[in-house]
Amino acid sequence: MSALIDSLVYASMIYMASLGLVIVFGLMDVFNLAQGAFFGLGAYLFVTLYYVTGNLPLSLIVTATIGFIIGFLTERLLIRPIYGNPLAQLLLTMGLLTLLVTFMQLLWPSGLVFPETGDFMLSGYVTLSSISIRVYKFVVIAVGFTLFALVNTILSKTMLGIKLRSGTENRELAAIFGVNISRLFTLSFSTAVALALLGGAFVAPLTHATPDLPVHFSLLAFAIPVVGGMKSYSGAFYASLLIGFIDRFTAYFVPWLTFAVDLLVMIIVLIIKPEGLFER
Amino acid sequence: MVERIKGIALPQRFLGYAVVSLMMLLPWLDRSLATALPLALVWGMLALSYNVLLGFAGVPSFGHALPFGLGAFLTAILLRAGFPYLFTIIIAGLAAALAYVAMGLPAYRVKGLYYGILTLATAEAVRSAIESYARTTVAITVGTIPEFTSVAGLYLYLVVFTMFSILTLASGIMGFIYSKRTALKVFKAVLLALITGLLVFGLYSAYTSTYSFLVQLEETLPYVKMIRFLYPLNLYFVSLMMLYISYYIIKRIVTSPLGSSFIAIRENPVRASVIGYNVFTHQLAAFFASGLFAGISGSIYVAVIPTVMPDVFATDKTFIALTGAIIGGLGTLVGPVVGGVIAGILRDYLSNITPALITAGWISQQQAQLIPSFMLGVIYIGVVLGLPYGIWGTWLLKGWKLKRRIEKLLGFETS
Repeated sequence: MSALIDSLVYASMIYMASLGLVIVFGLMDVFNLAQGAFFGLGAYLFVTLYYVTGNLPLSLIVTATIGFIIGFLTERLLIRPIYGNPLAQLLLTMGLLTLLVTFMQLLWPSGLVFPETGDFMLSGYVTLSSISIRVYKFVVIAVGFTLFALVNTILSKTMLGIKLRSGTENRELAAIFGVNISRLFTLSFSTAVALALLGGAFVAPLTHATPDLPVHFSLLAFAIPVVGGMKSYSGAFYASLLIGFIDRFTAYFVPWLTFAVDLLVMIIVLIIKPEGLFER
Repeated sequence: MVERIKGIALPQRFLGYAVVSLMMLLPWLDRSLATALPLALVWGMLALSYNVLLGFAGVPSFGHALPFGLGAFLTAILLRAGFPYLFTIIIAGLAAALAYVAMGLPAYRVKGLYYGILTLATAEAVRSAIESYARTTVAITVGTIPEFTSVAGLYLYLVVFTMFSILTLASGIMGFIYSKRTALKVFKAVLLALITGLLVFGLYSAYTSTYSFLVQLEETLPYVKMIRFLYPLNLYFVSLMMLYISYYIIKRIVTSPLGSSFIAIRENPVRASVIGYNVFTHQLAAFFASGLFAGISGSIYVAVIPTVMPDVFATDKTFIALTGAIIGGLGTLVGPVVGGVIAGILRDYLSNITPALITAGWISQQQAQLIPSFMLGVIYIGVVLGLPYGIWGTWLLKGWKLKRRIEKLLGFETS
C-alpha cells in the first residue's frame, strides 16, 4: 500500500520534471538536456523564497514567474542562435546542464531543508489501514494527475493546443497555414521551463532540496520521453507511471539498485525500441 | 640511413619538436609548474581522446567519464596490489578500451541524440551503483608510486630533453637553409636564435641542478628531500611523454585511410555505407582508440591525484573533455590538446584565486572548489555560441588570411 502510493508520488514527480521536455522536443526538435536542472533550480528557489516570505502561494507564483523569465531569456539568447543545428544544441544544453548544477551547488552548497510547518497539508500525517502516510504525498499525486488532465484538455480543446499539435505533426505545413511557429516556440519553451521550476517547487517539501536532486532528476527526466516516445504527450504520462512503479518496487527489494534500475529501463528501451514504447 | 636521419629532422617538424622541448624546459625554470601542469596535461589527453570520437567519427558520446574512471580505478587497484606502473597503464588502457567498445555496441541501433542520452545515463548509472553499493564513499589511496622515485627516470628525462633539443635545432637549421627569401631567412634566424638561447639556458640549468642533486645524494640527502626533487619531475615527464605519444598515435590514425573513412562517416553515414564502408565497425574502432587513451589518461590522473573516488565517473569529467575539445576545436588534431590544457590551466589558475575570496569571507571552502567549473561552463557556452569551430579550427579557417597579410608585411608573396 505504502509502496503503491510512493510509486504514484514518484511518477507524478517525474512527470512534472519531463513534461516541458516533451513539449519543446515535439515542437522544435530541440532536446533540452538542462530541463532537469531547471527542475532542481525550482526546488532550491522555492525553498529559499519560502524562507524569505513564509508565504506558500506567493512563493509558488514567484517561482513560476522567474521560471518563465529564465525560459524566455534562455530561448532568446542561447537557443535561437543555434536553431536548426542539432549537434550544437546538444552541446549547448549539455553545457547549460553542468553550469546550472554547478551554480546550484555553488549557491546552496549543502542543500536546503524545507522547514517543518504546522500546516496539515504540508507536513501532516494521515493513518490509512494502520500505515501513517504523509498528506502531502496525496497533494503531489493530485497535482500530477491534474497536470495530465490539464495538458490533455489544452491540447484537445483550445486553439493553442491545436497549434501545438499541428506544429508537432508537421512544422512546415503548420507554418504555411499561418501558425507563427517561432513565437509559439518561444512561448512553449518559456512555459516548459516555468513548468519545470514549478514541478521542482511542488516536490521540494517532500524530498527537500538535496545537492543531488538536480542530477538525479535530470537523468530521470530524459528517461521519460525516451521510454514514452519522444513526441508523445500521453506517452510521457504512462512512461512516468511505469518508471515510478519500477523504481519504488526495486527500492523495496534491492535498495542499492534503485536509481540505476531506472536508467537500465531507459537503456533497454533505447536498444530495443529507440522510438519509444507509445505511439503519438 | 642518412636519408632516414634527414627525414627525422625535416623542417616541417620544427614546430612540433620546438613545442615539446620547450615544454620539457618549463620545470627547470619554475619548479612549481612541474607540480601544477601534469593535471592540465591529463585533461589535454582526455580531450584528445574525446575528439577521436566526437570530432572524427562523429558519435556524440556523453559517457566519456566511463573509460576514464575505469582506467583510474583499475590503475589504483592494480597499484595497490603491487604491480609495476607501466604494466598497469597498459592494462587500464586496454580494459577501458574494451569497456568503451561494449558501450559503443548500442550505437548500431541508437543514433545521435538518443545515443548521447544513453551514454550519459550509463556512466551515471555506473557511478550511482558503485556509490550506493558501497554505502560510504569508496576511496582508494595509492601513495607514492615507486617508479617515480628512481633516479633512472631523471636520466631518461635529461636524455630525451637533450634529444628533442638537438632535433629542434637540426630541423630549425634545415628550415633556415631551405628558405630562399631574405625576409623569411631573417625571421627564421631570429626565431631560431631565440629558441636556441632558451634551450641552451634550459639544458645548462637542468644539468647543473641535476649535478648538484647527485652530489647531495652522495652525501646522504634526506629521503623526503630526494622525493621532493624527483617525484614532480618524473611525473611531469611521464605525463608529457604520454600526451606526446598519444598525440602521435592519434595523428597517425587520423591521417591514415582509417581516419579518412572516420571523416566520411562523420560527414554522411548513409553515403559512407552505400559506398561500401562498414559504418558500425569503423565506429567501434573509434570507440576502441578513444577508450584506450581515455583509460591511459585515467591512470595518469591516479599518479597526479593519488586518491580515487567514485566521482571519477561523474559527468564533470565528461564535461572537462567536452570543454577541452570544444574550446580547442572539434575535428582538428592540435585543437583539443591545446583546449584541454588551457581548460586545465584555467581551472588551476582560478582555484588559485579563490583562496582570496575565502579569506574575504564571501564563500566557503566547498564552494571555492566549484567556482572554476562554473567559470569554465560560462566560457564553454560562449565558445559554442561564438566560435563554433573552436580556437584552433577558427585559426585554420581564418588564419590563412592573417598569414597572407603577415607575409605581405614581410615583403613576399607566396604562390
